[in-house]
Amino acid sequence: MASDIDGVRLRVDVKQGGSGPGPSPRLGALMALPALVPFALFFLWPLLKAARISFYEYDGFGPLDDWVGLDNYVRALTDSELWIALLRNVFVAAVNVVGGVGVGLLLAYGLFRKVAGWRFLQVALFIPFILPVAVIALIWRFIYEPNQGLLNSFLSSTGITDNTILWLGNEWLALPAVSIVWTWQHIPFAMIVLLAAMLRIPSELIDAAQIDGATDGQTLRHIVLPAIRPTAWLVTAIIILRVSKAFDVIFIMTGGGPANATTTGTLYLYKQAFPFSNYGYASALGFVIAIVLGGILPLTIRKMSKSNVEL
Amino acid sequence: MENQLKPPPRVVDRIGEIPRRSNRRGRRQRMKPAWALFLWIYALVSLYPLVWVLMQSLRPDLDFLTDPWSIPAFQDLTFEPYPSAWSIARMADYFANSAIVSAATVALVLILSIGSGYALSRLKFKGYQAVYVATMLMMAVPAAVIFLPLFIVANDLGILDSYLGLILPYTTFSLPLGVYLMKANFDSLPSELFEAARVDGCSEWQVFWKVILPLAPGGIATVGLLTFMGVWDEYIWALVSVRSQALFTLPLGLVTLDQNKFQYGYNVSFAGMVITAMPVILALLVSQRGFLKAVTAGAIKG
Repeated sequence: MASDIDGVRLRVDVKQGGSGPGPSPRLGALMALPALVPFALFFLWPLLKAARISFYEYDGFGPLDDWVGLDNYVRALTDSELWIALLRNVFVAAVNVVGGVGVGLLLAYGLFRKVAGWRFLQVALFIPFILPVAVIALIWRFIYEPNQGLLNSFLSSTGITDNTILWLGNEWLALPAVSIVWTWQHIPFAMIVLLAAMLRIPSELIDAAQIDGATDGQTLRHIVLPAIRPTAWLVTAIIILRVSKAFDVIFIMTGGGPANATTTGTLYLYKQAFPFSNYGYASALGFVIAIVLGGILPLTIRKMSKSNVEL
Repeated sequence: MENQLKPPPRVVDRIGEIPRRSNRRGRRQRMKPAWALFLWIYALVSLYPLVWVLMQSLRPDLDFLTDPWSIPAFQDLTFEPYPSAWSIARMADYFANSAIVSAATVALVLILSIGSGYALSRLKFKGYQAVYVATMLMMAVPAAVIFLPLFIVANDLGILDSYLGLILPYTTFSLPLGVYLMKANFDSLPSELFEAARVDGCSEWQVFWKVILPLAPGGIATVGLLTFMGVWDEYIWALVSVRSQALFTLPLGLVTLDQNKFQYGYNVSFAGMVITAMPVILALLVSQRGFLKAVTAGAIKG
């Protein structure tokens, strides 16, 4: 044990010129190694297995013996279902970003300027973002229920319309309906992050504007907005990523229906794997989708690094 | 080495922090009431479903079916649906399962993240770059891509339909975030602290235990909270890997309960929803500031 300085210095000379006296690479490796075990077992191995399976036609039973080479990939690239599903992703992302950042921004501004009861609002409005996905999906499924659901009951009791609208059952309404649910979750998220950004604006700027007689709207447009632009981009990128990766909410609410109207990219993948057992194709799909999404990542990262601007 | 300037913190890193407001209200004008109206109306519309569910979960069933829209009179409220949900609809079992799986996962993730985070942060070792890249890679891959091969692997390992089959994958997928956050946490501690400890004659291990770890509770709480929320919440993998109803986690059990709501009653189903949401809401109420900060930081890095 090198508990004296001389011993440590010696060790540094002998080793591969580490990072100064002290840090022990061996302890480092020891401490980091355990984390690699689950990583290898439950991420790397499945990934490699998936890569292998993607070259076969496989339904889960029996040996892997139906080699089809790149067929699955070709099929994936020419599968119109897949690309339509990814288009749905785009739609959902658009709704989420516009709604989430748009409304979130307004809410954040209100909280920033301390409207009455902002302390309560700040916490209360955040709740939708943290609720368990299953709870959210079930609640909204109930809201959208044609006969006893909150929405239709509200519409008919206030006389807006008497029709029993099939929110989740109608091919055209289902995707927007589901998108709104997700947006309902993202609005608080955007709100809090944008609020934090607003709080970092030097208060002199705001005060000066107020003294000069700027209205709320003017302060928002000319002072606050430019200042939080990097953060706004960041929030946009994060929402897009979240929407692309997940499908829990949609799955519980509609299972992808009706008639695939709400089947987004990753949900399509799931359906190929589990109800249909097209394991080979599903694996190939997985990689294709990952690459497509991976194409989005560099774009978002570039946007994010533009936000290196310090306020 | 100690003299090298750290680059200014990027927006990305600081975003989770919510600065404390100054108490100075002073020269700021109040906003026009239209803004307050907007916020409150939004709050009303957006939160009404939740309040409504809470109310409905406290009503005897007959009342609900006859008139779903009415606001129940106070004396009509009853806790009756909750015991029903708890025992008859087996929410207690599901709750216990979720609790066990969450606790185990959080414990594992904390141990592994703290170790790896510290190692990556302060104990540079050969190939640590690779480890770092590997964890980041995990965050880039959408979960759905992994579910299928994970299912096969879990089957091969014989852990499907078991606690382990939930705990181990959950741990694996919570690790990248945990490692990243702990590493950032350790990075932010001043180097002088480490040097002082070493010079004072501590062995590396002692440096870790006695000096650094006591300074980490904030990061630990964040990682713990985020991991817990992710696991408590998780539906798809649980759906795929668990077959026996006795083993269902809360989200699974809740959906099952909902599918059977005609048998048990709507109000029981709502009570189930409240039970499922309770822990997270409680966590929020206990420490609003910390919670907000943790969740936003987690969402951003994730």
